[in-house]
Amino acid sequence: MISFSFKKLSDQDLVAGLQNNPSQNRRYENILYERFMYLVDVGIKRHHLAQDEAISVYSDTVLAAIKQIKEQRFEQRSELKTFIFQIFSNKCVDHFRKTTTNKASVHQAVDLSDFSAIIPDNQTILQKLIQQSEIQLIYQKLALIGQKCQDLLKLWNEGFTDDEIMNTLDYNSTDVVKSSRQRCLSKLKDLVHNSTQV
Amino acid sequence: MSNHLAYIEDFCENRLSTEENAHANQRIQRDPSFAKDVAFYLQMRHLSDLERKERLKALYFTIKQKQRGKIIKFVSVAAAAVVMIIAGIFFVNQSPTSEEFAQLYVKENLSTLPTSMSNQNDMLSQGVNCYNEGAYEKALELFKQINSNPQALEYQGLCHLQLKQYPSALSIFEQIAKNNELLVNKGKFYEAITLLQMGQKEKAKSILVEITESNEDIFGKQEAEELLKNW
Repeated sequence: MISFSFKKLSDQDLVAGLQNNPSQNRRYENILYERFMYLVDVGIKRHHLAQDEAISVYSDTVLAAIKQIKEQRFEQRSELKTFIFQIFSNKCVDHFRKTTTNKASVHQAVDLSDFSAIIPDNQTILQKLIQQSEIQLIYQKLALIGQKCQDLLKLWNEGFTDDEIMNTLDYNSTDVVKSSRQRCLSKLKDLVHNSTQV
Repeated sequence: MSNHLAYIEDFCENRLSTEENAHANQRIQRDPSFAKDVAFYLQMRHLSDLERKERLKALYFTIKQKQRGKIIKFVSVAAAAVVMIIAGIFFVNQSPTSEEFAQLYVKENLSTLPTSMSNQNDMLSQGVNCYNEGAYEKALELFKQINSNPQALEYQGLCHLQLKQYPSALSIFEQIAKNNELLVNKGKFYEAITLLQMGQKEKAKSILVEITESNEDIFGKQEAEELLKNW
C-alpha cells in the first residue's frame, strides 16, 4: 500500500527505516521513490531523455540508492537529495553512453557496477559468463522447482526482505527463509547448468 | 551447496569482511566453477532488479495518477469555495427586502430627532431629548401634552413606531397624511414604513406607488422608488 498522505519523514528516519525496518521495507522504498520523482522531469529537460527512459533511469537510481543505503554506504554527510541526484546524474550519463556509443552491445549485458564487492576486472569476467540467453532459461526452469520455491524466489526477486518473506509465506524464522532460498537457488542453478551442458 | 551459495550471496551483497572479499575476488579468477556460480547468482539478482524496476516504473504512474486526482480534487474544492464566496458576496450585497429596508430606515433615520436651538416650546425640546435618549414612553407623554403642533404629532407617531405600537403609529401618520396645510408632509411615507413593519406589504406597496406617481415633490419619493425597484 502506497502512503501518499504520509507526514514527511526526515532523511534520517527514511534511511533508518530502509536499514532497520525490514518488515516495512516496501513502504520506505515507496516513500523514497515518491520523494524524488521530480528527477524524471529533470532527466527529460536536462538530459533530453524520453519519458520512459527517464522513468527507467530514475527507477535504476532508486534501486541503486536503496542498495547503497542498506549497505551503509550512504554516510549522511550530504543530504539524501544530493546523494540521489548524484546517482541519477551518473545513471543519465551511463544511459547516454549505452545508447550513443558502439559499446552498446557490451553495455546491454547485466550491469554489475552497483556490486561494489566485485573488483572491476572480475566484473568483466562475470559479464562474459552471464549470457542473456541464460536469463530466459532461468525463467523457463523456475517453473520446474516447485510452487513453494517459486513463491519464495518470486518475493525475493521483487525485493522483499527475508523478514517480509517470513511473514508472507509463514516461515518460522528469517534463517529458515535464507536457507530455503539458497536451497531453491541451488536447485534452479542445477537445472539451468544441466540444461546448458546438454 | 547451500553454504556455498550463502557465501556467494554474502559476497555479492557486500556482507563479507575486506579480507574475505579479497579472497572471493581472487577465487573468481582462479576457480571457473566458483565464477560461474557467482555469475548465476548475479543473473538471479539481475532478474530481481528487473522485477523491482518494473514495480517501481508502475509505481511512477500510480503516484502520478494519484497526484492528478489530488490536483483535480483540490481544483474542485477551490472552485466550490470560489462559487461559495461569490454566492456569499451576492447574498451579502443583495438589496434588503422591503421589511428590512423599513427596519433599516427607522434605525438609521428615525433614531434621533433634530434638536431645536431655540427655547421655544420647551416641552418639545424635552421630548426630543428623551426620544434621542431612547426614553420613548416619556417622550410620548411630553409630545402628547403639546396641542395643535403638527411636529409634536409626528413625533408622537414616531414614538409609537419605536415602541412597536404600530396601529397607534399608523393612525397618527394617516392623520398627518390628510393634512394639506403642511409644507413637508411625511405622513404617507411613514404610513408605508409602519405598514411594512406590520408585515402588510401590499398596503405599503400601494402607498409607495402613490408616492412615486405623485407630481408633487413629496417626502420619501426617492426612497419609495428605490424600495419599489427591489420589491
